[in-house]
Amino acid sequence: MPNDYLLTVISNIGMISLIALSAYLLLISGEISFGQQAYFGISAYAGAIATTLWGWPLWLALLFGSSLAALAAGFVGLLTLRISGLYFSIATLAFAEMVRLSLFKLTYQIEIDGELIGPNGAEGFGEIRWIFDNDVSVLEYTLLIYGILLLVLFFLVLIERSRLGMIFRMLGQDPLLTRVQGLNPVRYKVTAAILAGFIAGLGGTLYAHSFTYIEPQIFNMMLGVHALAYGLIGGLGTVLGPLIGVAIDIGFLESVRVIQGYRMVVFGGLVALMLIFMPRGIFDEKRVYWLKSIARRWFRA
Amino acid sequence: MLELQGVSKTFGELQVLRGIDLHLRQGTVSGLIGPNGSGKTTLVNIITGVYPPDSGRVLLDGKDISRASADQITRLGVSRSFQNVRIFNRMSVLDNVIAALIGHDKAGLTTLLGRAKRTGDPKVTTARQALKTVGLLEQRNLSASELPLPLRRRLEIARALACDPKVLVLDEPAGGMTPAETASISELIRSRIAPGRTCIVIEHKMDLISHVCQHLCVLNHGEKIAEGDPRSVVSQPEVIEAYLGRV
Amino acid sequence: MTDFLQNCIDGVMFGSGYALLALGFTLVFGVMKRLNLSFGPSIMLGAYAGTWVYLNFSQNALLIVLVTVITTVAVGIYVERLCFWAVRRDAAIASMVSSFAIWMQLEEVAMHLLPERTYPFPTFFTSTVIDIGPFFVRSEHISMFLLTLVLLALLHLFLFRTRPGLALRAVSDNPLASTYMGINSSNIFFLAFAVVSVLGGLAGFLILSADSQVTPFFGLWATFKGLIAMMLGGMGSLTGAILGGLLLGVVEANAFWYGGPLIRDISAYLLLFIMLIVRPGGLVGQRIVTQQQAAYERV
Ligand SMILES: Nc1ncnc2c1ncn2[C@@H]1O[C@H](COP(=O)(O)OP(=O)(O)O)[C@@H](O)[C@H]1O
Ligand SMILES: [Mg+2]
Repeated sequence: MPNDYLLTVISNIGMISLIALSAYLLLISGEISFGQQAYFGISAYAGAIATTLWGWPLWLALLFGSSLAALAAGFVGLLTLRISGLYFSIATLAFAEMVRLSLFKLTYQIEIDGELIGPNGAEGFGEIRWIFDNDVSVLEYTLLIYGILLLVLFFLVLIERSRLGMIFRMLGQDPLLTRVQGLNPVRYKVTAAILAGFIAGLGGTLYAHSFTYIEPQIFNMMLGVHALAYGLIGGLGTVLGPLIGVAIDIGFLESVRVIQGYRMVVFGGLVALMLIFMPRGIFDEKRVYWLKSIARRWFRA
Repeated sequence: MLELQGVSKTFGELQVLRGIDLHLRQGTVSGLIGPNGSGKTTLVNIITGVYPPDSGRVLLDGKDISRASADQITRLGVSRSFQNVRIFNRMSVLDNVIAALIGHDKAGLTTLLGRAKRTGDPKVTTARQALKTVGLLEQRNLSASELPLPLRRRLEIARALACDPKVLVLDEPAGGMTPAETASISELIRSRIAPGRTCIVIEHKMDLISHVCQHLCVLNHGEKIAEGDPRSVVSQPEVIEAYLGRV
Repeated sequence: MTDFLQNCIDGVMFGSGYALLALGFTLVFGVMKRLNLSFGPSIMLGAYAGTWVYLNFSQNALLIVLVTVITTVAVGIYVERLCFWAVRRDAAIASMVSSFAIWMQLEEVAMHLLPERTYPFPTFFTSTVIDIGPFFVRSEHISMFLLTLVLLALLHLFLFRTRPGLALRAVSDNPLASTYMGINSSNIFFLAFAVVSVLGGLAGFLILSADSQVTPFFGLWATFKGLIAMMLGGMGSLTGAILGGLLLGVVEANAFWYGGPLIRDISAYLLLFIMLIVRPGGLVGQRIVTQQQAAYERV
């Protein structure tokens, strides 16, 4: 059904937006993580296990998967406190690959209705049947995804306007100067890592239940690099930046027929060109500030 | 107030500071001069906790802060500017000053998640006041990266000033400025910033030093070679030889 | 014990291939202080071009080597211009992300050239097993090892006996000072990329030829083995790259023997992760990290 296909694309945009937002949160606080897919994957497995094998309700599974992801992210954040720049990027990449490879070893199956169900190494983890068992339609599930995305956006806007958000942006510009303003970077770097892990985790559990089948290979580094690229394309000046990046890639590039089969060539080239001409994306801090002041003037008139 | 006792620092093979003693008197402006590379900035870095000293102590109000971290020392009331100007380039001028005030908030969860700049927030008022003092109020909504160097230095001063520090450290506040700009910043420090405040000013330009300082200390090769009343210090032969003789 | 020693021998054999790849990373890093993540995929594209010629035109070994190397160099130059030359001087991380983006491009182009999962890669080594006391070595690994040594010697000659090599080392040691000495660093970056691509093309050819097949995973494999080996040894250090390659080879061979392919791969990443946390500069490269740190923290 074309309608269902469209809905799948739309819900895909929603879920990928979550991992893009997670990478964005780290980007604005000055760290480039190549490893957000790890938290997406951890939560996808954990959340799916919780509903499918333990019979938990979805909301609890979401909370569980994302908390586990946040915990892992906080742990990595603590371990990598001393390093930054490309050392940080490569360390997060190494961690994410470790997670992905470990998932190949993860076998945990339980017999349900005469069938062995659960993650089974390279075979993956199928029959994540929560949607069917609860008679949730594609439309309803898409609405759920967007509900959660909106909550996350709301929370991120709140953060952007808060002291915490300002501290993240300070860290992103000059960690030493931030320290000399009386702020301890350690605390905020780990906070950013945990929040980012949690947001990626929300996307992960949602993803597992939407596709009903997951395998380790999905959570490879190309997912992480895409997540990163979305923020860099859309812009680092506003939380809408990563969403714009996702929409450009999945919404636009995917639907243009001419570039079918050359999508990566176009996308890769786009990212490379953006980094040359607009290193902080379309809606970077300057343009957002400018747009805001225009809006303010227009509002007053 | 602020006191240094036998502070030493080496970088690799290079001994940059050798047993520096210094005593700042409450409410006075002390000048710190010395040829390039004599260790002035390093001394500032040690006072503000950017590096720990190898030996010796730094006392603030009698309390040893030489092992405290930079953020703790800032919160204890030592603010500084940087010789190589450091500002948050992707923030507005006003936000740069608010950023400094945020560090002095209590870090509770509600504070962290509260609006950074609520209208009517005392922080905004304080920040505007500080900008007004240094003459940057007009530019408050510009992006900090658009400011020319002399105004960036003023922004740094505003940022340090906004927290109402016990000790204010200015590292070459007139560095890279023309004589006219220097004169204007020197007047600013003397009339608006110094009164009633404990300050250390590092500078090469003698007219600025003699205009603002009540006390002067000279470093050469990491050693304190003279200290005292500015006019008498400047006339000491070893100071002239080490420093002024080469100007 | 015999097992362990046998693993070490195997590890050194494989490790020499890793060392070649690591040299590619370390030369670029030394000169530019940047990482070129698309190094592996560029080699893969070169190898794909070579395989394509092999499948469609000619079995001539020399021609295939030439096509592989020339394609790798062409791709390397494309990457250098787009991700390194054009990106702002101070934006080291942007270059790294950009080279990652180009990686996607290269893989897709390769898939269009040869869409199957595996292709035979021309083998020019005879495959026999040679016994040395209780140990054995495969002859193609010995050939690869020896050719690696030859390449290393050539690289050493280039770096330490020629003027361009000297300029390259000068820029690597102190870019600012070399600019004052009249060295055009932009040309040196270009040169470094060209040299590294030649090296990469040859390394790719050797490794694939010993393996006698090429798959689309080769790009990823080459980037990671080279990157891990370089970071283990020390960023920007030539000795480090060789040591790192050998260390990685030995660790992997043992992990493989005792735990299988998955454990081998996990242990490589684990080793890298631990090294980055504990000693970001690797075995010998600590100086570079502290220098960078100091330059950054200088206030
Ligand atoms: N982080 C550092 N690492 C190594 N050497 C340093 C560092 N900071 C300063 N130096 C050296 O210490 C000496 C004193 O520097 P500095 O304190 O900046 O002098 P001044 O501010 O008096 O010009 C200089 O020779 C400088 O090169
Ligand atoms: Mg100085």
